Amino acid sequence: MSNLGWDLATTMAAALDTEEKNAVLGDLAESGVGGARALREVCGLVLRRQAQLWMDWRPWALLLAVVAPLGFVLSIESRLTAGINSVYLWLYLNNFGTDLLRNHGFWYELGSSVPLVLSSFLRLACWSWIAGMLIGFASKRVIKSSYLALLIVLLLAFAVGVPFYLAQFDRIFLGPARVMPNQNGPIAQVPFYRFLYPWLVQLVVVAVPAVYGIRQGSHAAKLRRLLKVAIVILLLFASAEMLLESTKLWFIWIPHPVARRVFPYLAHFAPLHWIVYWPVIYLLALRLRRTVRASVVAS
Amino acid sequence: MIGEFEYLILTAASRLGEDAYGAAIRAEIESATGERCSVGALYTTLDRLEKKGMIKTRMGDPTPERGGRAKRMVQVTAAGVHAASAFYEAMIKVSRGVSWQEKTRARS
Repeated sequence: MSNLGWDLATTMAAALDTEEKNAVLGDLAESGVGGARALREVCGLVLRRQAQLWMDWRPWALLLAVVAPLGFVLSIESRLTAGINSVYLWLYLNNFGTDLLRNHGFWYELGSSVPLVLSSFLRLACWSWIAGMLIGFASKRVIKSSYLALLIVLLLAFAVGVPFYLAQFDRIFLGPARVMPNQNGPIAQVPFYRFLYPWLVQLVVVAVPAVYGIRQGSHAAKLRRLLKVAIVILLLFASAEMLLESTKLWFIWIPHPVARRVFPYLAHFAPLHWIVYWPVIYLLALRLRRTVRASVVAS
Repeated sequence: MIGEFEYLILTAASRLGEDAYGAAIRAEIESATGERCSVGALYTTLDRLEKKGMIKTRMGDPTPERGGRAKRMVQVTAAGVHAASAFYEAMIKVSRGVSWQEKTRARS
């Protein structure tokens, strides 16, 4: 454990500032502590440092306003993409036979489905990278926590939140479709497509590009102001496109079916309507500014 | 008023003088209290004391016994001396008339 512990402690210390990392590892080396204790001490300091950063309101605002919504949307999109692509994978992998190679229809279908599958993966990977870059750009000091926060949101959205939400949406809005036979039933019966494949898609096509995007975003924060503004505008447009392009994600913008049943008038204040209600906020802000200015002049 | 751990660090750093740095301060505290002093507690408290203006820190030279890594040298400021002195005075005042040795003997 001694050498391994020291290696792990050195790796963990990378989460600290360079000067602090040197000072701490040097102190531990000078004290002659073993690998296990060095690892424990470094982990303790890293945890304290990260906890200190989260005492501020900004990381929480970032988590609630940027990381959580983007992670949630990416997780849903990842599941939808995996679900659609699993049909093609099942068709070609689970039903493959050499006689298919002599079938012209097979080659025709393959020619149209391969670009479809690849483009959907590419789109999802790009969205994930964009979301990651936006998070990295906004994170600044809490960059290390942002990696962890996004991965936790992805994991939670995938394992707990999204299936419940989707099920509700599916039940209320797509109710009549239930009477139709589910032609993808046999695919869902295969454990690989049901459990492992969606996880793999989320890991490889979402988590990895998103983490890479966070890293790129943190470097982009050091660019010149004009370039930074251009990147932020591009990222915001791309994120808006991501949220609005997929019609299957639109249910995020309308109140949850359960909430709609409890508060029937909630539909009038659906999140999508906020875009239309902005003049109210604008006029109120103008009014408030005039009042504040008048009170300043009077005093 | 500073906390007891802050007082321990200020006192240890003051005693060590120009040789005050992370590992030496830790060793002083551990030998005085007989309890383990974690790196996390030490370094976060050093930061807090520096923000309060009670210490100044700078990076020293790297040494071979530290694997070529630099030390974080600590110097107690006038504000630190004043705060530690006030804490000590308060401890002396509050302890007046109380004999902990007698109470320990009576209990055992």
